Amino acid sequence: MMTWLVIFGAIYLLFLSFTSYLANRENNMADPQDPKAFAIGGGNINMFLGVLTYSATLFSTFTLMGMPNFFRTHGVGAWIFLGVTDVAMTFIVLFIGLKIHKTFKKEKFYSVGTFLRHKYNSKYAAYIFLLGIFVFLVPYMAIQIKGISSFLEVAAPIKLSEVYWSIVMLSIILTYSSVGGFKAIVYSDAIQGTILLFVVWIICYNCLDFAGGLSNMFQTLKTQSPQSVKLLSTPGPKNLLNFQFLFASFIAIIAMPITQPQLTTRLIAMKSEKTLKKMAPSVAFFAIAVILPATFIGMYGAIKFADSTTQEFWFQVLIQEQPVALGALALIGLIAAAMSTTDSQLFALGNEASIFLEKDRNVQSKTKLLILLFTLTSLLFSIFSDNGLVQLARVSFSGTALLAPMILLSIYSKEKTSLNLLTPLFTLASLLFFIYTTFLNTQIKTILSIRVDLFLFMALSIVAIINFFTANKAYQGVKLND
Amino acid sequence: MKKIQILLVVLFLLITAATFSPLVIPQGVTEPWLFSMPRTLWSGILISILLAILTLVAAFTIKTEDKKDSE
Repeated sequence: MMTWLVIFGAIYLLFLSFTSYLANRENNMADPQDPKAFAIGGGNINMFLGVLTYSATLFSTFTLMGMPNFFRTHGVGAWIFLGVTDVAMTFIVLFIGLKIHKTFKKEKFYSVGTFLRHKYNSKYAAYIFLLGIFVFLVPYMAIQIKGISSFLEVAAPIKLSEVYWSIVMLSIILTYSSVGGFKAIVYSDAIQGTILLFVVWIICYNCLDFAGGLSNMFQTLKTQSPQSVKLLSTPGPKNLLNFQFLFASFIAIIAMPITQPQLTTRLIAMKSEKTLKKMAPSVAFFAIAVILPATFIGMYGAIKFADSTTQEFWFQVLIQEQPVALGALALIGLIAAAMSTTDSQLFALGNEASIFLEKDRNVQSKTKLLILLFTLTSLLFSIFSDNGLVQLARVSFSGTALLAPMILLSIYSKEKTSLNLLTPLFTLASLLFFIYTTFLNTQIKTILSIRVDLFLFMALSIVAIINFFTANKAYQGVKLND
Repeated sequence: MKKIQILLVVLFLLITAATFSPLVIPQGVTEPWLFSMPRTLWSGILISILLAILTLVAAFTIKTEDKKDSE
């Protein structure tokens, strides 16, 4: 195992170094004062890189670890939660993503925060957005780093403690993202996306083989135990996958290209509208290609490791039961996957927070400092994580989805319309209330029998729609008076 | 928005509505089975494929305003 790990690890690091060097060379050719070069890699990402970077940022470690485990625990209904929502999201990428790409490129915005400040004519709109992404993304990154590090502590043949694994991964991320900026991250995503797709299919093939084929696998589940039968339909053995959960998750996930800056940045960074148009359906097919094998790995786990802990399941299915070389590649794939999501989120946070430095001439180096700051925060959070942080990470997508009405309003309002702060202030109130119900008063789960996140999203959407019509009406009035 | 695009959006909404209806997620029902898979799984996969095709068709119908595309 060790030999293979060293071989694959060395190849991976070589690729990372080479692509960082390439990205750095491209950045050096651009104007150092041009924020476009560092923030969105010059805005010339081609279709192939676009598909891989978007997918790698989206799926990450969750594909190899989270998805199969989710299927193992909650059953086939997880396909609606993952497979349907992720593909539906690409439809949103096509329609709303194109609008974002067009608007941001035309008006030369490279971060959502600066765009919101411009459209709402107030820095507070940007601060509310920053608060939303900071509160939900940093815990998500911290928990992700902690999850993979604690797994590596047990599973990897190199014996390092959880904290050291976190430090190693974050140091590698800091090095290549500082050297090559956004472009280096995109290249690393491409490497990771390729490893991910390859590893997940081989492991799936082996799992189907161990289970005696697809038909045998489901027949076994049908007869194995009352619990395993429940895996074959919704809401699953733990009653999680009911209508409201699935629908609220659907809203939260399809809103991700709008609300999660690491994905929005990728839409803006595409070379052209035509490239983005080709990217969207490609990501849809990539999503199916990634989630399908994860489904079968999870269902196999439900047969063989029904009562195992999550860590045991991962260790057995991804490493122990696989040929040695594949187990080593899976480990490298997991490290690469964790890094490719975390680097994108760290970079996006640094880029968004650079709104505080806009008048500074040396934005690039200050953004690097901000990335370092967020990296250290994530590291500290991952070391001292408690139940509250886990809760915030768990509701991360629902939390950031609350930002969607505010962002959509700014994108779809007429160019010269000056928006008031009604929607941002309601968004702030909703965010605070959502955090309150997540952290301090977990008794409040529904409002008028609707899940809190779904209710808040619906209420905010109504406020944004009212705001849209009143603002555009006022704008027409101004035009008539002119 | 062109008529075809409105049609695609309507189709998207209809497929989404079907996904969250008892057609795809009936509580505790596994029948009918197809390709050795229970109902929610095969119908969910079918929905995903339909949505991916819809996205592909939509991509062909949307006109872009790139001045110069060197691809």
